[in-house]
Amino acid sequence: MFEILNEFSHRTIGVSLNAVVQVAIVLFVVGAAIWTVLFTSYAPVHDFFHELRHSLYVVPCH
Amino acid sequence: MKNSKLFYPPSQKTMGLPVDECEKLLRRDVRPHGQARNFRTDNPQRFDSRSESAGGKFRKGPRACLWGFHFVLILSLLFSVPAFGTSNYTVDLTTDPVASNIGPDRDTVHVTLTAKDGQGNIVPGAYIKIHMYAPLRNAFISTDFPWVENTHLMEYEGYLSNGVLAFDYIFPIRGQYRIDVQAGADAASLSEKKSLHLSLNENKVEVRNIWIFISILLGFGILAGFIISRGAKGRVREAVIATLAIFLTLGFTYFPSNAYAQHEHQAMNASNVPSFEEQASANGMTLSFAMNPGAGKVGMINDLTFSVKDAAGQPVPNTVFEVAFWHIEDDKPIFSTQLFGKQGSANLDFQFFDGAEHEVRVTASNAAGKVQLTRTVEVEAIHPPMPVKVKTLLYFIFIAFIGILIGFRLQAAPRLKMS
Repeated sequence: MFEILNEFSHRTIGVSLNAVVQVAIVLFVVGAAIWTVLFTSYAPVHDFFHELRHSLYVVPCH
Repeated sequence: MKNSKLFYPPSQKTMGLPVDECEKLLRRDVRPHGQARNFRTDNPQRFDSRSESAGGKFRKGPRACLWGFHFVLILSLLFSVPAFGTSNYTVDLTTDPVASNIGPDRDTVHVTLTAKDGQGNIVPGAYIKIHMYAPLRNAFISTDFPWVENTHLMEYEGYLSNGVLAFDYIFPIRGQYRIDVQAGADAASLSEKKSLHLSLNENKVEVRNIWIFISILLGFGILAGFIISRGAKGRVREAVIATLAIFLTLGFTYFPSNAYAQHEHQAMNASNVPSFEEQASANGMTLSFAMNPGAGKVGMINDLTFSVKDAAGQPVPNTVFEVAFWHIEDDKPIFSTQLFGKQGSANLDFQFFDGAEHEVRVTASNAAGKVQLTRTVEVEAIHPPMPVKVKTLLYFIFIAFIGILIGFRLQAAPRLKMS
């Protein structure tokens, strides 16, 4: 993240997140990725990963 | 004691006796040679309601027991009705390959149901009735087809020309299938219903893949936990990129070249599609195929009727219907069999478990010749139930979380000092 000082220069600002927030973000990203790949009903993505779903033990397809 | 109350009408509750007492009293009222005593003539008071209302001495115990006796007798008669006229036929089930080697949604299984008499001989011309149920639902983990779980898969009844009903079938999911069978000389004299069970395990490849998937999730979680616990500020972006990279890699690793299936998810309601009848004529015969509802749906059973009539419109007896349900997308049959139409027709209830187009191929043959017909039927695909998807997703997230905790632990572990 950075702060604009004027139209010609800017200054980088360090943003620190505590561990809980970082873990939450990671888990959210993991969940979003898995949902997109395995559980979305959006046809192009769903059809693309059809075989993948059918090759994983606990993943439902339809 | 609880059961004994069942034998008494509500008004007699207060004088209810235990079953063993009842039996003793009834035994006293049976003549030595086993002939039941005539209660009305031997002891008229017993059934005389006036004497009861008049406060006469009434042997309440035996009367109550008699009520119970009659009640039990009626129940016995009611439940023994199906026993009259039933046959002693049995039905044997065999599969090729054996159950332990069957892969659900993969292998075509040759199933044979054989009708046998009491001596174990195959009975040509026997009448059979079967009803196949999908495995029950597991509350914790889903199969590939959650809509198929705990549903009816197939129902058929009819005569068997050679005493054997054989069909090739792809079982959709793992679990224990139940097949209720009955057999007899005809529909009126079927044997008592027996349930046969067939237990299938999941494909070994799927089991292996899920362990690989879990390992990757766990590995990623450990890596993320390790990085976070180092207090690496601003490393969240790296963690996000790593996550995406891993999942994209995973997706492409398991993506076979022919996997881009045109797996359409139609926006229709198959149960409302009107029934249809398809006909084809040859050799002076007309073959009809009727389906109700007019489209299939995962989890729903369709009623399929095949019939052959001659030029005069009369059914042609002793016709054999070769039936195959061809999965167009996978280019293979999911079900095929020969049904014997003693009266020129056969009826089959069947669930199309995969939401894709199927081709119904029917060939009818009899003494007059052959006639065949093909009809494409739509099968509505349904996305898995939302609770099942969310539940499975939570499992995966939890595994990643466990990995993160392990990563934290590893980072916190004391390190060896180099001296």
